[in-house]
Amino acid sequence: MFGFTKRPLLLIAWKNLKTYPVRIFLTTSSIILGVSVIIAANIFSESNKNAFDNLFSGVFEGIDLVVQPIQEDFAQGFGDDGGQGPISFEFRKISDKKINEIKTIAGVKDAWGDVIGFAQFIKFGPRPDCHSYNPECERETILIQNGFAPTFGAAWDTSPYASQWEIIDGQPPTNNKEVVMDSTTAEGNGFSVGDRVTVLAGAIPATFTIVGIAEFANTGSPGGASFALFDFRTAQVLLDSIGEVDFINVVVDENADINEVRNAISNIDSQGLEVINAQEAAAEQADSIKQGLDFFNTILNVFAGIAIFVGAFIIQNTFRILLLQRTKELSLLRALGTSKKQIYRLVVSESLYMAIIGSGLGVALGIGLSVVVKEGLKYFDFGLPEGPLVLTPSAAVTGIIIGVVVTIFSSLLPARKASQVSPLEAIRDSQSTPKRKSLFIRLIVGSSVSLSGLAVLFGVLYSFFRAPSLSVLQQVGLGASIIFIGISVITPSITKPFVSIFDKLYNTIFGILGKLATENSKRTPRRTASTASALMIGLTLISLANVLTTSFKAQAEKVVKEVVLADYQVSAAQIFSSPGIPTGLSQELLELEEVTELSRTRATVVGYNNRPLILGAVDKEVFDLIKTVDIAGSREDFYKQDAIGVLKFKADNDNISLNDRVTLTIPEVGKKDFIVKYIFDWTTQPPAEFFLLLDNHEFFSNESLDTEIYFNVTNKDEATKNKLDDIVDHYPGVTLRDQDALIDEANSQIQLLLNVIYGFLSISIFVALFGITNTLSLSVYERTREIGLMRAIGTLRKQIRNMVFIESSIISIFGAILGTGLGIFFSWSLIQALEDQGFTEFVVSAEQTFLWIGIAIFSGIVAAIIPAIRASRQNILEAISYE
Amino acid sequence: MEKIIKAKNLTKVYGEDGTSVTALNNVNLDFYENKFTAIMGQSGSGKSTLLHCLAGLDKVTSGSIYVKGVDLGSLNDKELTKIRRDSFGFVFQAFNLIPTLTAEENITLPSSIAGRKPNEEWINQIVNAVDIGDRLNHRPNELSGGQQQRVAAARAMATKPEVIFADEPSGNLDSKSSKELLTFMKSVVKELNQTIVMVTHDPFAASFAERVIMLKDGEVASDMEEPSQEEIISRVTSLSDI
Ligand SMILES: Nc1ncnc2c1ncn2[C@@H]1O[C@H](COP(=O)(O)OP(=O)(O)OP(=O)(O)O)[C@@H](O)[C@H]1O
Ligand SMILES: [Mg+2]
Repeated sequence: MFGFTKRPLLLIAWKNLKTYPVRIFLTTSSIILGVSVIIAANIFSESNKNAFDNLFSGVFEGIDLVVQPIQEDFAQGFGDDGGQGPISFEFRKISDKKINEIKTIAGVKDAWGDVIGFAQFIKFGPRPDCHSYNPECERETILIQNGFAPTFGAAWDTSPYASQWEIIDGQPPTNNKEVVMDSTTAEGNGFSVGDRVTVLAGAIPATFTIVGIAEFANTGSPGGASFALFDFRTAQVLLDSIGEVDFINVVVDENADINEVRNAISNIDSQGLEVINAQEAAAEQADSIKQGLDFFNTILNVFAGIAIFVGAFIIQNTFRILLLQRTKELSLLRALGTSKKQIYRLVVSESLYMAIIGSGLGVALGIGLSVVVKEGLKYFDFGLPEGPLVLTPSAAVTGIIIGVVVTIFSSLLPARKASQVSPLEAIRDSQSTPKRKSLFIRLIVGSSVSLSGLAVLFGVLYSFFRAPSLSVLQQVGLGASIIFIGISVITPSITKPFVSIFDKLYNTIFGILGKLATENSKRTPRRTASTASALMIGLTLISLANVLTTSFKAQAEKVVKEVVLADYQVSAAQIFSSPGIPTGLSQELLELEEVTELSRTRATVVGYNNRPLILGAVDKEVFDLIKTVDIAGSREDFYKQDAIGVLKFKADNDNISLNDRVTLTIPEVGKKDFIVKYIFDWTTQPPAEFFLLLDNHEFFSNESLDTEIYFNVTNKDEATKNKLDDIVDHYPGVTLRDQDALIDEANSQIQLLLNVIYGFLSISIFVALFGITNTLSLSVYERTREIGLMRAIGTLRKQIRNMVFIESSIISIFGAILGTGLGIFFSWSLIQALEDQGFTEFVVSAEQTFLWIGIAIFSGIVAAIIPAIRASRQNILEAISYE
Repeated sequence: MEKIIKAKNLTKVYGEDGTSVTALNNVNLDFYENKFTAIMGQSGSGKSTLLHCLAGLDKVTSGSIYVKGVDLGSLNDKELTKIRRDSFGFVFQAFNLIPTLTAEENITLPSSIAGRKPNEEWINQIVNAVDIGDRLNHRPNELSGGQQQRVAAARAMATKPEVIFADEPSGNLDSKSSKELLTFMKSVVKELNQTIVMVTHDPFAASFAERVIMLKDGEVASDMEEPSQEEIISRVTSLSDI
């Protein structure tokens, strides 16, 4: 019985795939990787969103209404630029008497107050940068922080309805000697019930006994934040809330109308209190955080896009090579009466099968990858909330659709080419020879595209052409993208000349093997070029990241050196959550005879034109220790009693000029008038917008915290440093830095960012390497006869392997040099574009550049291992026997 | 005359038990220096197999091959490869040349792989003999089939090998080119003291040889010294009649 099949081509397509599993693997590898990155990005962002949703619904679980004090706009706006430094906020709170008032309202089942503020656990032990055998290390104070997550102190809720925290070991705190620790912090730092721990709350460290370990809504702690939970009264004392609470949680009777209760509570003090629906608030807060995370998701998606883009190159390449190998088979089908259209469909349906298989595997790999990304970020201290990984069906479907569509599209051109194979090919013994003409057209098209890209880019840099409605940066980006596309079009036509540059060198070093390898890569310039292009993309991005960071570091160094004139700076270790530097520290420093000049900076929030504003106070010495620029008025006048200094940007924004009168509402003092005597520029991050002289104003003396201290010493030596350290070490949460340390600090932040970027970019390099493996495997396959012949006439296996390695090195060098060149050029353009914002430094690190080119070449050789081994094991007789 | 290759009880079986083919069955042959030997036989009689085994390109199933007294069976791949490189030359029926290399580079390829400087005087002599001096800088696809085979022959001789193995070297050529190539091969043996073992099924080609060995079903059916073309044809016919 002969089988009759209605769709013979689909069957042939499927049979083809089943017969050549290696072929499937080679082609699908890049689909798999591309899709997996999309899926990983998606899982990652979904999981984070999910974790935040849980977190916020956890925060308000079982709570119906939350009563908050109405904050005037105070806590929010700091003007455009100011307010990086630690500021003592004047948050409004609620009197704790209100709790009982609320409890008496009909329909209220229970109400309890919450106190929350800054508190941080401290442990003593060797610092990470200190060797454990050094006894000095034992005395180091370490502020415990889980990644970048904040550190909090709060009251333990005793209401039976409070279900946020759950004790997993021990018991709740009952007096002012006890504390409960969140389980994330406890596990991470080896604390358990019964241990003594020091907590820094307010500015004063105190020691407590851990009586319990608690979990928050079934995860260790919300968002990885550390929590010190005290009994209610203790929390009020420690967290600067005596007689007050931050907000009140209300549980409403099941049969009461929630809106009536809400109105009733509002009526107690409609001016000072607002009552919000807890569940709505949860959703709102989660949303606002998720928007913040969207930035990160965008980055992930960009990387996914790059991986897919690189993947498309490779898929197309692989298809083309596979079809070339099958010319005979396809032309036989043509000779047997298959139409062009049918061949086209045959190839496309093969790619469809591969796309489905590849995308499916990609989803699986993506799940694995997301675990890696998550762990990787943990390693780099990116504190994101704990939670299960979530793969939504829509994400999986999107990933598969993108994989399938990209694969099919990449197969269209090769399929068209394949369908044009003549039925005569089957009889002829054809050699693949590149078509010069189309390469020439490519050169023309690519060059014009690149030139127009250059015009767009230089147009904005040298201001002869501005694209409408684009910012400078956007236009540079646009120009760079056009240039990149142009270069990608050109690469096949410059492959030959490029490789020819290396001919002599390779011939001299590797002899005939070098000659063979260079000739091979010139033989199929398109293939060489598209393989190299995949690597080029990765290296363009890497060298871009690289040059930008070295330049930014140089910039940071220049700025710090220019701006910080003091020998030392003291600042609060944690910019956002720690309260500042206890004023005792500046006193102690002043008493040291080594300290020659010292300036303190304090800040407070005051009202100006019914808006909050940061008012700073400085010592005269600050002008010697920090670089400032005089704009108008004089410093001498600024030192007078009623004088006030204004930062230039604030003066410009608010139209303030010299000798204007400004009226400030100062919390402790009331309304007070000042005369603008000095307008100046503060060259670092300014600690405030308006400035007074510290000694002139009593109310500043009452502030217990400094924001920054700068000072000079007689002799900046080891002995002085030790003396200074002795003093500063008594103030936990405070860091002493000199210029070098400030530079290091800035650099390490830039480096951290770079590391994360490297992590993602290496995925694109990895995809590119698959491409190299594919290309070489197939090129080895194509040259079966040649290699067999060489073996027959006495070429050693090792020499065959070396030949493949050399060929791979040519492809990698091509891609790496093009990519690095483009990357350096693009970063130069970017820095030019950023000139207005004060970026002047453009530094290319030769080490980094050569390191990455080296890595690319080395990886290329690693990618060649399998093809090289396969080539050297080829059966000689099969290769030379005449069919 | 010195014995250069000795095949002793040579047997080659392809495939597994069920589908096995005995390509060579207990063949005993000696090949002498400075001699042009032809191996003949019908298609499938085992000619190529014999050549591959003698040249160390294929492993024998049983028996041994001695090249200047060295048992090929005792050598590993690296040593075998070096023997092929230094002591043997090859001309195949087709696809003899590396397409990316010029004629000259193809001729010097074996010395290049060995990392040796080619003997220029010797190469000039061969190049003149095969009459391709004006085509040295051309790539194979720019040469005619006959020229390609002559370049291959020149390559086979470039290292002054002990033996040149040729499998149907004239199989793809017209009678004129074929005659030129064979004349050259014969002259090489006579004038340049080379040794050639050539497989062919063409009595005309075989008539250039000094010795003709006939195979039938993997066994040596006859071994003739200096036969004329007529003698060869009649022997071929008589063998195929049986
Ligand atoms: N790799 C192989 N696997 C299995 N059988 C083989 C193999 N190579 C050759 N044979 C068989 O061994 C026998 C001898 O083959 P061989 O190639 O030596 O013949 P030949 O005399 O060179 O023929 P021709 O004149 O057609 O080239 C044939 O029956 C052939 O089918
Ligand atoms: Mg044969």
